[in-house]
Amino acid sequence: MEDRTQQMGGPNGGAVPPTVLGVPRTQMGVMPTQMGANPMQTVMQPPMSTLEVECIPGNRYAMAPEVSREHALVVLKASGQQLGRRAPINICLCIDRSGSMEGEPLEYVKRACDYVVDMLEPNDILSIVTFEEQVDVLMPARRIVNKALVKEHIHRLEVGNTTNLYDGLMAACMQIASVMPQTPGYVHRVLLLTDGEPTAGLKDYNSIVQQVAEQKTKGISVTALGFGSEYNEELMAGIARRSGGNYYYIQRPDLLPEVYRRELETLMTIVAKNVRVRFLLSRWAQVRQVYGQQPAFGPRTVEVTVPDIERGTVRTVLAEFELDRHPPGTFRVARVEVTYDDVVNNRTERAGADCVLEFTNDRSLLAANVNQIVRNELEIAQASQNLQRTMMGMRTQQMTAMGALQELQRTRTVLIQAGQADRAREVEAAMQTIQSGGDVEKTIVGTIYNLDQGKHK
Amino acid sequence: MSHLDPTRAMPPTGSPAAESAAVAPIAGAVGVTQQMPATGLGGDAYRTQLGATITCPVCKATTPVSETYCGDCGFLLASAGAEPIEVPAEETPAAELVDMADGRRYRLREGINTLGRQGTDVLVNEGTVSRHHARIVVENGQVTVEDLGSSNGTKVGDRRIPPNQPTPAVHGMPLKFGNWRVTLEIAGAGPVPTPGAAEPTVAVPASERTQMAEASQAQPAPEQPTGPMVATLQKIEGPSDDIPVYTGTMTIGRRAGNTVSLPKDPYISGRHATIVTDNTGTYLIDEGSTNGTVVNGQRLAPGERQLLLEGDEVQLGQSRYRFVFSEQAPVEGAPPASAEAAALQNGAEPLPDEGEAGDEASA
Repeated sequence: MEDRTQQMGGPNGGAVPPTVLGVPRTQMGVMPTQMGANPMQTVMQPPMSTLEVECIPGNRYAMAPEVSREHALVVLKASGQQLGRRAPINICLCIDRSGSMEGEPLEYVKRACDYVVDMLEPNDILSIVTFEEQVDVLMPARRIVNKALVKEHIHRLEVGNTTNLYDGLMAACMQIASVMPQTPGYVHRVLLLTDGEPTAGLKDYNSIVQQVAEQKTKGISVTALGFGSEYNEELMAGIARRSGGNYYYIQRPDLLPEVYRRELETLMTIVAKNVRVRFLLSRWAQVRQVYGQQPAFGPRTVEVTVPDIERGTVRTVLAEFELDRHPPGTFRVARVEVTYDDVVNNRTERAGADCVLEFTNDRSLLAANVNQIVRNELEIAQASQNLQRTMMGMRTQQMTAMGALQELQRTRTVLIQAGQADRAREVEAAMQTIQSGGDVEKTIVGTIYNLDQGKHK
Repeated sequence: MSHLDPTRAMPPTGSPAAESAAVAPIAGAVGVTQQMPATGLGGDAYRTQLGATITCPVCKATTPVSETYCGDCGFLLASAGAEPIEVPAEETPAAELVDMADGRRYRLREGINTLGRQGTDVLVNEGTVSRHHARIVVENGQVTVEDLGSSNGTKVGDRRIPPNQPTPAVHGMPLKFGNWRVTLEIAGAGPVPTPGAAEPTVAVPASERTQMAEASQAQPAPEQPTGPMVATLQKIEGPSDDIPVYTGTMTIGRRAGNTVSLPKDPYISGRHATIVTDNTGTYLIDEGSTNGTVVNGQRLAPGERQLLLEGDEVQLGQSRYRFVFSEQAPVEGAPPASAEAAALQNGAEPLPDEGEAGDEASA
C-alpha cells in the first residue's frame, strides 16, 4: 500500500499531465490512509460534526432602496480528521466488453479490476457485471473471501459484440440493490466503464439519465468512466451529474488501473453522502440560480443535492439571489439547511448557517465590502459557462479554431487567478489538442464537470 | 483551502446565550407597543411579558423569542430600535411568467426583459432554452415577445413566431421557449387586481370575482361592506385618492384582498386599518400598521376603535384625508351609479341620523 505514492507519475509516463484524467483530486499521496485504522483509537475523540457549514454573502451590504442581485456561497467543509472507521463500500464494476475493447483495453481493465480486488477489505462488497449485446453477472454482490479466485474469474473475460449500456447499468444497480438491506451505512456505487456509444438496448440520453436519476433516489450513485475517443461524453457526464458520481475521461488504456484506484480511494474517504442543501428564503428574497445545478424550487425554498463529500475536502454551492427593497437594517435573507448521512456514525445529520446582509442607503459601503472568496467562486462558475459556450461554438462551427483558442486562453487565465491550477492545466491540454487537430470535447466536458462540482482541496 | 477560511466570514451572530440576553428586553419593549392584537385591549400583553413570542417590527410576523431573526422577513430582531421602521412597498411586477410545470413565477419589469439560460433577466435552467433566447417588452400593460434567433424557437399561443419580430401577447396566453412552457400574466389585466391606478381600488364584489386568478383565490376574500356609502375620506394631500366609506366593515391596506387597496403608497402596510360603520357611527381601527394611523395628530394604538366625526383629519401612510359625511340622502329605488355600488347596497340599512347614503360612489 505504501508504494502508492511512487506510482503517482508512473502510468502517465510524464508526457500526459495527470489532469487529463479528469480526476478531481491529484494529490493522493497526502491523504491519510484509513485502511489500517484502529477503530478503538477514535472512540475517545470529542464529538464534532462531520460537516461544517457556512454561508458567505458576496457583499456584506446591499442597497436598501432598490431591487438588487447578490451572490452567496455555501461552504461545506469536511473535517480532515479521521473520526472513525471509513464507511464500507458496496461497489459494482460495470464493464463494457464490446468488440472495440479487444486487446490492450481489456487487458488493462483486468489489471484495474485486480487493483480493486486488492484494495477491498473484508467488510466491503463487490459485484462485477459485464455488458456487450448481452449482460452477464460475472460475480454477484458479495464479500470477497478468496481474492485469487475472483481475479481468476476476471481474467477469463472476453470481448463480445455491441454495447448494451442501459441493461448493463440496470443489472449493476440491481446487484448493488440486492444487498442494500443488509448493508446500511455503506457507500453504494456503480463504476461504469464504456468506450463507445450505446448501440443496443435503450440508447437515448433521456431514458438512460432518467433511470440513473431514479437509482440516485434509492441511494445508488454511478461514476462514469469514459475511455478512448468514441464514447458519448455528454451521456457519461450526464450520468455522473444526475447521480452525484464522478466523471473521468481516460485517454489511454494504460491509465485505466490508475483511475480505478483513485476512484476507489475517493470512495473510501467519503464521510458524508446524500447531501442536500436547502435555502429557506426570507420574505423579499428569491434565488435566481444555483450555478451548475438544477435546483428544485418550492414555495420560499430552493433545494439542491450535492455529491458525496470526502474527508478533508470542501464543497461549495454558489447561489444568486434577487433581493427586493428592504428597510435599512440587518436581515437574514436565507437560512441554509444542510442534511446528510454521516457515514462515520451512520446517522442522518443536520447543519445550518445564516445568510445575513445589511441593507443600507450608503452605496460606498458596497464597493468597499466585496467578498473576494465569493468573487473567486463566481469567476470559476463563469469559467465553466465560458467553456460550455466555447464547446458549443466549436461543435456548431460558429467558432473557428483560432477563436476557440483565444477563448480557452482567457478561461485558462481566469482559472489560474482563481486558484484552479488543475483545471487550468486541463484547459491547456485542450488547447494543445486543438492545435494538433484533435477532439477536445471530452477534455472540456471533464473540466466543466469538475468545475461544477464545486470541489476544493 | 486557505481561501475558504471560515474565520473570515460573516457578521458576528454571537453565542446562543448572548443572543437571548440581547433579545429578551426587546421582546418586552417591542411587544407592548406593537403586539397588541386588533381586537383586544392589552389582553395579550401578559403573554408577551412571558416572552414566548416577539412581533417583528418590520413585517409584524410573530417569532419565538429564542430566534435571532424574524422567521418571515429575516430582520435581526435584536437590532430593533425605538423608531418605527418604514417598510418600502413590494414592487409589483409589470407582468409575470408562470411556469406551467412547477408554478414558479418569473417577474417581468416595465420595459425590456431578456430571457435565456445565462445572464438574462429571466433566467431559465432548461437545456432547450438558448443562452439569449428571447426579449419580452412590457409597456403600459402591452406585452410583445421577440425571439432572438434561438435554436429551439418561441411560441406565442399556438403559433411559432419568426425570429427578430416582436409579436404581441395577451394576458393568460401560453408561451413556449424551447420546451419551457409558461403562462403570461399581465398586471392589471383580467383576473389580476390592478395596482396601476393611483386611485384606491375597491374590491370587486363576490359575484364578479369568480374568474379570479389562482393566486388571488388563495387569499381570503376581501371584507365586503354591507351597506350604502355614508361618508368619504377626502384627500387633502398624498399619493392616494378619496376613499368612499360604506356601512359595514372595510379593510384598508396596500395588498390586493383588502376592501380598499392602496398599492401606490409604500408607507401603507399590507393590512393597515379597518373602518367599521354601524348605526352608532364610523370607527377607524389601526391593524398594527408599521407607520401607524393618525387621527387629528394623535397616533392610534393598534386595535383602538376611534370614532370619526365630521371634519376629522386622518393620516394613512403618506396621505392625509378629511372625514366628511355624505350630504345627499339616498333616493329610494334610484338606479345605482355602478355595478359596484349595486353590489354594495345589498342589505343596505340607512343610518338613523347624519350618515346618509348617496350615490357618488368613487367619483
